Amino acid sequence: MTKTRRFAPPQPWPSGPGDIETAVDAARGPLTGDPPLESTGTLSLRDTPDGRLAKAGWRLQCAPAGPGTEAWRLVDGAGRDIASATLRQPVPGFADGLPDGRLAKTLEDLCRSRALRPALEVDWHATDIALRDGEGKIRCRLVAETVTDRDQPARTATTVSVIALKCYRNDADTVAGRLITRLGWPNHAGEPIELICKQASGSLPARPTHDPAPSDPAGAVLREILSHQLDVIEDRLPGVLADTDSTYLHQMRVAIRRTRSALSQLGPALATEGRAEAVEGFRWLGQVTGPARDLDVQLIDLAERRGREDGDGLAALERHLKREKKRTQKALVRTLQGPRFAEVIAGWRRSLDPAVGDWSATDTARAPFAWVVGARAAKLHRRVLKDGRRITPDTPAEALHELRIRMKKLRYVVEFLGDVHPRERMRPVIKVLKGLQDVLGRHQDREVQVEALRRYGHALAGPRAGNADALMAIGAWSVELEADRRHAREEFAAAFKAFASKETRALFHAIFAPPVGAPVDTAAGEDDPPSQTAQQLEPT
Amino acid sequence: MKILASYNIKGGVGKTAAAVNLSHVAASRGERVLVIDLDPQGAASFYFRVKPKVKGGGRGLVRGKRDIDALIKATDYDNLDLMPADFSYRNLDLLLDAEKKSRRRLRKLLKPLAKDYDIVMLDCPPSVSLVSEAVFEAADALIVPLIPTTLSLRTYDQLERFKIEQKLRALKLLPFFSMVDRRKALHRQIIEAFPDDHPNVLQVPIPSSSVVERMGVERAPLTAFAPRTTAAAAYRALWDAVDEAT
Repeated sequence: MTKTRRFAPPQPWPSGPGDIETAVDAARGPLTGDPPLESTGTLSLRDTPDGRLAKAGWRLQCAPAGPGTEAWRLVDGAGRDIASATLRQPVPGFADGLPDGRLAKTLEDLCRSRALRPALEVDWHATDIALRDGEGKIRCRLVAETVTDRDQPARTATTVSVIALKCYRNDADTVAGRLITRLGWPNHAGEPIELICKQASGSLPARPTHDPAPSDPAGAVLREILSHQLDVIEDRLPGVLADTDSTYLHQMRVAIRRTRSALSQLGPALATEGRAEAVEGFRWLGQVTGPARDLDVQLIDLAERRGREDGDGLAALERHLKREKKRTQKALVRTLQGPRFAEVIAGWRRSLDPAVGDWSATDTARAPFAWVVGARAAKLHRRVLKDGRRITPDTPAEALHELRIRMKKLRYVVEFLGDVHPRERMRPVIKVLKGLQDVLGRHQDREVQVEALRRYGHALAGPRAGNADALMAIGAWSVELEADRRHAREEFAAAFKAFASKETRALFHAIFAPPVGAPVDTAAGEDDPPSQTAQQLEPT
Repeated sequence: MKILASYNIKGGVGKTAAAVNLSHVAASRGERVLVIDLDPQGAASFYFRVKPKVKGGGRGLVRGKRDIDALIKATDYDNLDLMPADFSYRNLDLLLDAEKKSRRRLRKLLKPLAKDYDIVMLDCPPSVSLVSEAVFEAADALIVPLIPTTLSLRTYDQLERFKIEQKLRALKLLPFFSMVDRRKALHRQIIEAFPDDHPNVLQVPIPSSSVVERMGVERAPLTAFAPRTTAAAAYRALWDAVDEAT
């Protein structure tokens, strides 16, 4: 029954003990202010490892609500309630562990099977001052709220709210007007925690937050991008080791693949120190993390399948897969805690250090980032078009697999360009890439999955583990996967036609184009082969 | 939405104190509460420091020409709003009488509030009149403060008879003893004997206490300004009993 107008004083505020009293005196007019009521507390913001709630513009605010309980509030960007619940501790780590209700349903829809982990812990402090009329009736309230990031106390934000009471709106408007005219404070729609979130961005985002210009030197920009990918790998490591959510491993592998793509496709723009070791190290890292990820995908697919149909066979298969996953996870943990992993990460970190690696040693490294990466992406694009056009309904499956690998390389190189191009220009390009990649991915994944199911079938059919129901379920599933693989193969022609259309090519060419004023003649680096002249590197 | 009314034919028995304190207790427990001050004396409005003035007066209210929500004001307490009294309510009987289906008028006026409030507490004037009858039609239960005296019990019997005559079967009567002085033998005797014939009585007596009288000085619910007193504890227990009975 209240309306709130919120203001953001010049931060940091209050800067001194008298600031709040000064603000009250400036705003209250004939009203009198009560002695301030102080309150403090803690709040944690939870999100999925890939920041799904933050991307949706929502916050899941969790605060102690009493002995052994926690209150969870899902709010939108303006702090309006979407859903809430009071939970007993220990609180569940996943949305599907929440008690039935709107909060559970909303979070399940958005987060699927991802963990809800604390992304930000803050301390808050509120100073509440009631403003009363001559009768002693409260007409409105001034509330200063300060929120401080627990990990980084320098990260703090304060807002001052004028809270109007029902039927006393005019008083609040007058007080708010004085804050604007006498103190010059701007309106601020969000809560202070929103300001902190903007500063903290919840968790380490999958993309770097810096904003390079297209004409920045390629070496320096790539060093930033690759440093960030290494940060992501290290950030996701505890989650991968604890195996609380499959997203951690997925994101770690994406960062590994991005790094590998840069190493293989943009080598001439990188520092030479430690590059060869990194190529080998990240190739190994891709290999050792693969089996656990494959099992994660299989378990996710199985869970989805069990949602549609249930039976003893699928349950037996799930038990088998979980045993396999446990075994694979143990091996993965040993590997990631072993000396080689530490060596690869530390070695690459050293190379990324500008004091160790020279990231401007070559002409290519000094050339504009958009030009270098655009030229490489253009070349990959031409190659993908050429290979794709050769594929007919009779072409062996291996050719599609090779095309898929090239598409992945193209995708990651194009994504590097996303750091310098506006999102609206990149979005349709990524969408088209994903469309074709999905078809190629399904074609190969289904084949791999059928092969995996065959292996599981053999394991389950052994003398000690015989399970007819499981084998029947595996058989039925394999038939479906095989059918889907054939569909994907049939869909390829249409998907590729869309990818190779004139309109789509124009979209690609727009992002491959060199930035205005790019020094074209300097772009062909000394590491480029002689045939890779500026003319050839130029986007088509 | 639950509609409760603090009512007694007799005046000065603690109706307004009960309405104000019980509403404050309910609001402090998270219920969204609206107090409607129907008494032209405006004691509840006074306790909440709100001017006893309603735009359009009793006529505007009864005719339903004004948005009832616009007549509601916030109190100083979370979850607790007030529709203040107006001196024109002294003519509420006449104004109601001029309307069709006058007894059902109040219930109809309150209906739109269901989305905003869990509890509506009507603080009624002492009398038996058309206003009272409209309250009986609208309310789910009457909370009836009784001073443990013979005259006070007599008025309660009148109320019970009236309920039967008017066939108000759905209306619950929730009597409780108010302004109890345990030093008085008569009070003790009545409190002990009354439940024999009246099993619906709420077994939470409110003591006669100077802190209740201080509500007029503090202009606040005693459960807010003196929450640790025996009287405040009694009102909290009384709310539990009302909540359980309704």
